[in-house]
Amino acid sequence: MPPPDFLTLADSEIIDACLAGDARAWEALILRYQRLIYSIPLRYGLPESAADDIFQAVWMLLLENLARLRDRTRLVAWLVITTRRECWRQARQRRRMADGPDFALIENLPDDDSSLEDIFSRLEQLTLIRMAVQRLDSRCRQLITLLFYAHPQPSYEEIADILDLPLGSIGPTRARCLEKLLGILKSTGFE
Amino acid sequence: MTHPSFASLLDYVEDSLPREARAAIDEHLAGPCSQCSVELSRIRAALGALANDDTVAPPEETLRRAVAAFRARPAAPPRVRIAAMLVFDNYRQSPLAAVRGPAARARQLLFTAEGLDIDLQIHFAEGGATLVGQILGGEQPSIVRLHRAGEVIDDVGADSFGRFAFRPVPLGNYDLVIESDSREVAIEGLEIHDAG
Repeated sequence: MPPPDFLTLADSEIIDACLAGDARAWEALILRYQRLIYSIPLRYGLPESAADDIFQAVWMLLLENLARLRDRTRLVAWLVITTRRECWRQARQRRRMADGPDFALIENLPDDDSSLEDIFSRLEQLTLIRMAVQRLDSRCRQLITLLFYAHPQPSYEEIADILDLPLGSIGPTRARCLEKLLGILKSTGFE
Repeated sequence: MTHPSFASLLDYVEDSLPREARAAIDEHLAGPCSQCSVELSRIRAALGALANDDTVAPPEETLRRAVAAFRARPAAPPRVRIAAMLVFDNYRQSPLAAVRGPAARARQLLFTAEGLDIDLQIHFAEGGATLVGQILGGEQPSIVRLHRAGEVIDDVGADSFGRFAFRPVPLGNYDLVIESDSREVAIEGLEIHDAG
């Protein structure tokens, strides 16, 4: 997890810290958007090996262009567009090299498909929620993570054990933590 | 009006309220209560997203390599700053050479700096101006920034012909800085005052 002070910072502030040479800021930026970037190639139907390469390529491109980003408040849009371009570039490159079946799907997808736009909007929304979860206090962050993000999902009894909470307080604590989460999301414009 | 608590709205969404309590919220929503309707939509959206988050985290090694790239990046060479020189200003022409009437509401300036020419036009309007320019020669600029009292107040990209525009610009004194990979060319003390 990134240092707590980076969790509440806006992208533009983290970029400034990166440009000032703070490696912790760079790590915070990667942790913030790791799932978004890694999930896009997988949504295109590309294999994990391609997703690994695309992930590296996107972060290298960001590193090269960090000082030149026109609008730092639109980093998410930049990341999504750049990742999509990398998906296409790598798909074409690998197809030329291997002519394998892995990339047939992406070749057949129109890039302006509205269903794809919905997928990317949803990925951005999921990223926003994960960022909000990271900003919760430790108890709530653990509870929400166990309730929604853990695989396999633990039972309430197991969660009570892990968090050292009475079983009967899981429900009310869950409601309080979701209220805090919604409060954070509201402040970020989540609809 | 007393609104239902967050916990009640959450139970309502998750369908775990007793029938009477559910009916009371239905009646409240039918009020209508837009505030609670919006809150309900937000709760539904958040719960739906939490429950169906199928994003995938990269493997640890993939993540580690991306993080490590920051420390391995080559140090950027310091960018050289070059001050541009004014070579033409239609406001400084003699009155006989440039009679200023209504047409002189536009100021034209030409600057030069080590193989780069910058053509600027300032079009004045009520209380402000539009600053348009074209960069000729030199390497492809990445960004043009307008500074005032040491602060960047706006930045724009130049198009493939080197053209850029700032609008509207309040009257005042500015520095215009054209940044490229290796250097920045600065027009310092650019006066945007309508002397016409």
